[in-house]
Amino acid sequence: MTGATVALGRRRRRASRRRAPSVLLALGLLTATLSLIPLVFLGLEVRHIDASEINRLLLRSHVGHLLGNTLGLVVAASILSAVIGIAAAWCVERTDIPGRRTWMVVLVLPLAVPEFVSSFGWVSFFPSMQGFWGALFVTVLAYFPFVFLPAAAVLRGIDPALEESARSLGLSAWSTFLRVTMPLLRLPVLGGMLIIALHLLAEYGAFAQLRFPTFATEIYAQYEIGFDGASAALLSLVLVALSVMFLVGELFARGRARYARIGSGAQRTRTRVALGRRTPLAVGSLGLLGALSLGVPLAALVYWSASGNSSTLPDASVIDATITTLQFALAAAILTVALALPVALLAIRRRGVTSTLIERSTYIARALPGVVIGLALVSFSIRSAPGLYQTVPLLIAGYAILFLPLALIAIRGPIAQLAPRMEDVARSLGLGPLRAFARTTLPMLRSGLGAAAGLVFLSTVTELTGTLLLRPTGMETLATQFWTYTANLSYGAAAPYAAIMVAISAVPAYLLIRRLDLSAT
Amino acid sequence: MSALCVRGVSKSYGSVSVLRDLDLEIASGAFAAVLGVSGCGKSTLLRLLAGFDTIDEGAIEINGMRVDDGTRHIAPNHRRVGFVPQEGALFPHLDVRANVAFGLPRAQRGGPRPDELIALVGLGGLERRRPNELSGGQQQRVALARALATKPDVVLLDEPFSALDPELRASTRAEVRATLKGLGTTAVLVTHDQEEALSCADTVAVLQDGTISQAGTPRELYLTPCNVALARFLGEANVLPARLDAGNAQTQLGALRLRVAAPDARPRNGVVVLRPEELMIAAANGSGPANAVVTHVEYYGHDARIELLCEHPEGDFSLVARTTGIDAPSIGERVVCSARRSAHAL
Repeated sequence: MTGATVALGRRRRRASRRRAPSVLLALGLLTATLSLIPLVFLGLEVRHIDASEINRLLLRSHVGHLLGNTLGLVVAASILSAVIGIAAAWCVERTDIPGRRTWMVVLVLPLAVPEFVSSFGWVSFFPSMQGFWGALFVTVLAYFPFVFLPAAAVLRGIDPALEESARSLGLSAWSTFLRVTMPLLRLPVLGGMLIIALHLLAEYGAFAQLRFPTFATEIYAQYEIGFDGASAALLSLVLVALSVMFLVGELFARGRARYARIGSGAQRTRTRVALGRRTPLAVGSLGLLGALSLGVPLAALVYWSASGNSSTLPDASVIDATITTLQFALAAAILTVALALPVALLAIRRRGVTSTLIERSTYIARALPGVVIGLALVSFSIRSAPGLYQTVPLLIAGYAILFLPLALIAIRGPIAQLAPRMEDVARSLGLGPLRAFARTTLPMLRSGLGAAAGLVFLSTVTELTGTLLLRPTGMETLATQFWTYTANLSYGAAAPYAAIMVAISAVPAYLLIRRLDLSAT
Repeated sequence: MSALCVRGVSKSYGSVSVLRDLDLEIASGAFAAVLGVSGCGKSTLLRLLAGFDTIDEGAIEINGMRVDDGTRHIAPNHRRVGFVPQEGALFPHLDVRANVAFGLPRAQRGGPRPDELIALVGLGGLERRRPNELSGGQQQRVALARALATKPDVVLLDEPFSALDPELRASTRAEVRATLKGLGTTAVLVTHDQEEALSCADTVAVLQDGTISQAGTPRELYLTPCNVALARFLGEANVLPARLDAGNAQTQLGALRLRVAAPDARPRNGVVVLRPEELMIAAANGSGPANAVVTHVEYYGHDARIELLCEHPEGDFSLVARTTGIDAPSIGERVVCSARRSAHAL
């Protein structure tokens, strides 16, 4: 009987693969093409440079310097963030520290402050904060939540019986942490470190303010100086190669290990470590972390907003910039989710070579920083579609390429959990394929699609580099107007723009915390 | 000497009192079961024994060593107590062999000990498997091997079979028991399944309302439970009002001898507990006038559960009886129902 079931299952899978509707495939291919445009046009730019020129450009000591700066910062910042993130997560999740929920909020909220805003906060108060150490300090404070969040989730989710078993097998509390807890933290922490590395590679604004040259700042400078297309494109390819290296490296480090929780039994309550006399030390450390990562940037925004506008630049309207920003973000969210949905459906529900290729091609965008996508789309529009140069549609398309991986991550989970049987049942009740999808799958995906749209929306609000390159002349978003003012050292005029951005992007941080809290029950 | 000695232990969480003045003694080498309904505190008891939690009052001794007396608390890693949690809780990042070798000193992890234990629990050949590639029963056996590797004085098993499906449960249970008996290791099994406790333990302690209400062999518990709730928890029971004296009970089914005589007891009103299999059913014709009618039959093949309505001048009453599958009457049949000669009085 089992054999028959297996055979039936196999036949069913084959049938469903054959059924992959051509509409879905066409939409998926469209998305894949869009994602590949930046790489193609970077390649076209570089093609015109001959080999000796490439050697000259790449072997310049300058490139070596950039490489050293970028890699040094990536390694130092991701390791330091991991240490701080894990330690903070352990304090919050495993000890009886007072005010756990508050700490959770305080330690995740730095994610709501864009990096170029927190670096503005520090530089505006301490102009000497520059170079490698300044960049390390500011980026670790901005990025440690990327490790804190998954580490806290894992520390909370580990079956207490695992650590208890280790204790009863004779291990001390510390060896248990090293031999059981750390291996289970490895994957999520690695994932967090990868996100940090990709952010560091892509970040332009913060490093421009901190006067710390990386590939991203150099590419932007090359473009600004007079659009040295070839040289900028070449540096971009190196940057993309670095990103791909980290993505692949993480894949290898991950190995084939999958640490699924085995079984489904009820989790036991765990006993928290009593801090006792160490409570003030723990509270003080977390307090300092919160003050440095969240307090200083927010204080800077309040201080400079209160000190008033002393700009010599022409007046701009915060309201206009806010409206423009929200409109762009809304359009980007809708387009991105519309493009991501068919890709995710194909990848999960209709497994096959084509759908896998389509999905992977959109992941390439994960290795494309905003500055690279912006540059490539500028090159694309100048060469192939002059009508599109510096238009809103091109800008929105840029956002869509940039944030497609983000949307896919948010949609994939909910789609994978859907039972394809639901649609089958709807079909057997007499609905056509489209109506079956619209009345079963789509409603069940609502929260996943909402999360994806929300993430894209809020990422667009704080996007700086790509917007600087692609925005139509005369149109300013909150980020670009903030940038213009700070470049002119008009801190008082700049601060309100940043304050609104932070207020808007506090929403996803709050949602993240809520999700983490819900996963505990 | 007793391997495990618990005296007057109390434990509360906040204002909720979970264990109250609990006493328990388990002989060295015994396979003991602690039986209780969900939420009665049996897992808490196990956590206190393992040292994952501290007691409020009382004392716990393991092989003569005082491990907790409310003030001094010996950490779980110094107690020599093995722990087999629900569903095994194997380390998901390690394969079978590394799981079993986990508690051994570094020098012994590569040695023969892990392989011996894997062979002992009958999993030879699966050393390189990951926990998620094992069946539930296999996971439990690995968890047992892991706990046994460090040669603990006592092994604690926390509902280890409840997640397994029924067929696997019986066979895994038998294998685990055989392994532990073979090594002579003292074991404490916590369970809510009375069939599991009765069938595999040498002694069973029943945890009711935060304290041990009765402890004894499975036979003692089943045949002479100390209260009606326990009698019903251990299996189906007919509870009949009775007039009791030193050695006999007068019931609606006639006079019965008491299983446990109370020589100096004065006559009093009480109840007797009659298990379904202690009732006998005969066809009405041969053995006298019918006194009951069959109202419901559940036929299982090897036996059958029969519900009866007995006629009595003081009012009809219901009984549950069990017969072999061959002797099962049919619904509506009039039968003669009688009890065996002895019964347990409360």
